[in-house]
Amino acid sequence: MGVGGALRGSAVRVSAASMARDQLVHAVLALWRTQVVLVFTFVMPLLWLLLLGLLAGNDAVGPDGVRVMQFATPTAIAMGTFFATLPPVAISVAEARETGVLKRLHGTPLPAWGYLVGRIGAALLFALGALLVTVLLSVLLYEVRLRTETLLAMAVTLVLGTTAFSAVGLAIGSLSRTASIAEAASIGSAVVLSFISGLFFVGATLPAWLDTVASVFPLKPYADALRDQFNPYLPGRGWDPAGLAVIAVWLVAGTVIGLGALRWERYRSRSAGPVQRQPVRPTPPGSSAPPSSLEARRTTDGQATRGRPRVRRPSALAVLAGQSRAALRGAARRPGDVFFSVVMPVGLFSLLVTVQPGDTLTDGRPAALVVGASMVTWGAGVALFMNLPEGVARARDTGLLKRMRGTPLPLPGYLAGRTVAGFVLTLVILTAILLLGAAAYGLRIGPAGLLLGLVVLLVGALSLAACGLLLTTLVPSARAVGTVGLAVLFLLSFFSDVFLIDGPDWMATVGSLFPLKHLQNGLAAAWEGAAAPVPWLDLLVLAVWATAAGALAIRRFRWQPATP
Amino acid sequence: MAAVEVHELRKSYGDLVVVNGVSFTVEAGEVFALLGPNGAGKTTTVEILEGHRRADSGTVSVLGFDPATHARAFLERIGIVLQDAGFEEDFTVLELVNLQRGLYPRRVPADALIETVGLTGKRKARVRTLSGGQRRRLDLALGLVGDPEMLFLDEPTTGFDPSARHRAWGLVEGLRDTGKTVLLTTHYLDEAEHLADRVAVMVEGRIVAVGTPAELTAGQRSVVISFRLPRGTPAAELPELGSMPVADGAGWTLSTAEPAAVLHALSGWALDRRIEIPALEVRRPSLEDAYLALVGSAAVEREDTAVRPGRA
Ligand SMILES: Nc1ncnc2c1ncn2[C@@H]1O[C@H](COP(=O)(O)OP(=O)(O)OP(=O)(O)O)[C@@H](O)[C@H]1O
Ligand SMILES: [Mg+2]
Repeated sequence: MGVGGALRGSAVRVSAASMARDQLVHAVLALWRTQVVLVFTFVMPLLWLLLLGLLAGNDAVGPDGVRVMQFATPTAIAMGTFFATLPPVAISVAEARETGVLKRLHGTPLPAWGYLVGRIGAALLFALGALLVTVLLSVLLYEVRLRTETLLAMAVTLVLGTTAFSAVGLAIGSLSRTASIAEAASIGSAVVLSFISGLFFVGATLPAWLDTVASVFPLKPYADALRDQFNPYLPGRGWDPAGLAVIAVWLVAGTVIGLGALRWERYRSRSAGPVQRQPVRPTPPGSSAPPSSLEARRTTDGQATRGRPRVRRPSALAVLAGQSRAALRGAARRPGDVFFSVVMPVGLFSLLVTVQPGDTLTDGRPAALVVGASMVTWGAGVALFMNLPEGVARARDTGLLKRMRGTPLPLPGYLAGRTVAGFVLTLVILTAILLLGAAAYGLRIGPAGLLLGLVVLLVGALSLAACGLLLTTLVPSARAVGTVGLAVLFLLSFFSDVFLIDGPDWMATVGSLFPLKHLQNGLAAAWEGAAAPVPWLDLLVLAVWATAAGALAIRRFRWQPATP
Repeated sequence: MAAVEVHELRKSYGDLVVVNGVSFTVEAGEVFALLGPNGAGKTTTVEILEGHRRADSGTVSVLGFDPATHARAFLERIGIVLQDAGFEEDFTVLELVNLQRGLYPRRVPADALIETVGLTGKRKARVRTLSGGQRRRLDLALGLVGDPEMLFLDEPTTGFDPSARHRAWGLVEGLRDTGKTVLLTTHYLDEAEHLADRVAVMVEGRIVAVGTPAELTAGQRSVVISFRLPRGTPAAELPELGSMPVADGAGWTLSTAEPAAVLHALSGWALDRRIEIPALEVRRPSLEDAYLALVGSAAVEREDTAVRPGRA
């Protein structure tokens, strides 16, 4: 090994500019290599734009050639720039802290601003990319026009808005104890804000009180300003001082909180109380090692007599129960999982039923029943098609699966435990929605309908879990699995009567190829009771998916991360 | 001027006192090793010196700076290898070295540095593909990249293979030859014995011994005698040797202040019975023996004080 001589440093001046540039380039590369960010920043808004284009058509709305997409494009821009800034900043800061990367940096001469300039600058560049791609696509594809008279106001809105979103992201990242909390909090709040700010509905109106709530947050003023700036029928130059003021307040608040709460070192786990020191004594010579308590517990289910472990293989049921309990405990400790799979569908149920104009849909079915089926379906999708595969992929990435492979736990036992846990979560959602529906929205379902619904849900859960596991075998990293799962689920929801929209017939046809629609339709049919026969077709499709995807997933299952 | 001066340092986490009145100095150009069992407070002490944590009380000076101020001029002159810091897994070795290099006014050439830590073959490899020991080498490289005057190494060679460890030793010796100061913690006593000019042993937040490795081992008056017994000869048949031999792997070890008498008794016994004593060895105590004696007696003392009230 060469010694000191070869390693003598040469002196240079470190300029702030070069430091900032290096950090920026580095952070851009980091985001680029995460790939997940690409999905949020580019794929989601573009899919949204294309979807709207399909749904709304792009007819001219006036004699002057203004087209429908003129009004949808600003929504897609708002969504893309919002998702490019808030979640990535929050997640990357929390992740760098959790992995110790921030601590390492803190021991170098890099000042805090240098790091933040890099991270936030990179997010802003990505937002710019999302903006350019969206505008380009809408101009080329949908003949959307940019209005020169509002360009300045639009630029100011975009810069102020994305900076504010980044600052709020920084605050979330600083306050979150772990990267997974930051992920849940940032993506969760982003999705909720998008909903209440009307980004996911075009044309529909939200209740006035919700509008008022949304106006307090920065996204609605931002999206509204962009919409107005794109609207060719509005006079003026597109300035909205009140909206900009709201955004500016969030910018300041986010910066102050974010910088104030920024920590360089990882948070210790909450339960880290005072540690009792264990005296370490050398074992006396000649004595055999005492049986480890772990071993005793595994072989005898806790009734071991110390020192003489009985040898009995745990029953399949005991293995399944243990695995399910562990998986449930794990899910309960991940706030993101609970939020997306339980809180969000129940909240959406309430919101969507409220938004419906009457108690019944146009086809005469009770709104609460249909929306309830949709939201149980969504929750099941999140629990089993997004969280389950993400958890398995995470276990694979962290080497947990590899360790497990060295134990007598059979693979089906592990996977079944995960599936049971997901199904239990789904039952929680089901119960919450049924109780809420009965209490607040007059939802009435007979016992036969409930029972049949349970059967449908069980088969549906199996098919979603099988598809989810297939997803883990197709996508390399845990974070990507979660994101791809969410994106697929979100998109498919529009094709599967989960998010109610009256799309063209071909969308229903596409939807009917996949399990999600059959779960929703099967549930709704079961709950309708005597009027509807048993939804055999839906059950059949679900069962086919469960078998086929499950078999393929097991064949392709990997215990270790793929080495690139 | 001493590179590091620590006086009456204290730090607790909640009720747990982790550093309990620690004082020591490290002279400029010295390699100083901090030893001690898991949880002794080594990392806490070192991280206070690095500016990562704040002391509850006591005074600390490193290169004339108070690390708690976290001054940039201070950070430009030290290098840190943390016990457990992560990397951005999607970057290559060279990228990370270059990024960190750009932060310091004095910079070591990246390729030479990567060569030095033995990662040349992995220059373009993403961190996520590195083995455990290779990651540790990257850690070491990042600690050295700013050509520091003072280097903190918290268990730098954990996970190194034997030849990598020897290379790292060569590296640290090279650093000492160029006048750098090194403060390292380690659980490898041969490493401390080999590298350190002086060693401090820390147990439960206190320093129980400081000195050169020779001084610490000289404190041990006794000599270590180890041997095996031929098959079929139980240890119970051994003669009275002054102190009980203890099982040590396949053989027996005892330490004694009267080696001549013990050897005489042992060899006389063997000759009487017409047997040989394989693998007989007489050696002066190593740093490891001294360490185990220090740590063991500290633990016993504490246990006595801890247990007695309960029994009374
Ligand atoms: N941030 C913290 N919060 C609470 N307790 C902590 C914290 N950091 C360390 N401890 C506790 O302080 C004690 C000393 O920890 P420290 O890391 O300094 O030990 P160490 O001597 O470096 O041990 P090792 O040899 O295992 O690295 C341990 O009991 C540890 O659990
Ligand atoms: Mg330590």
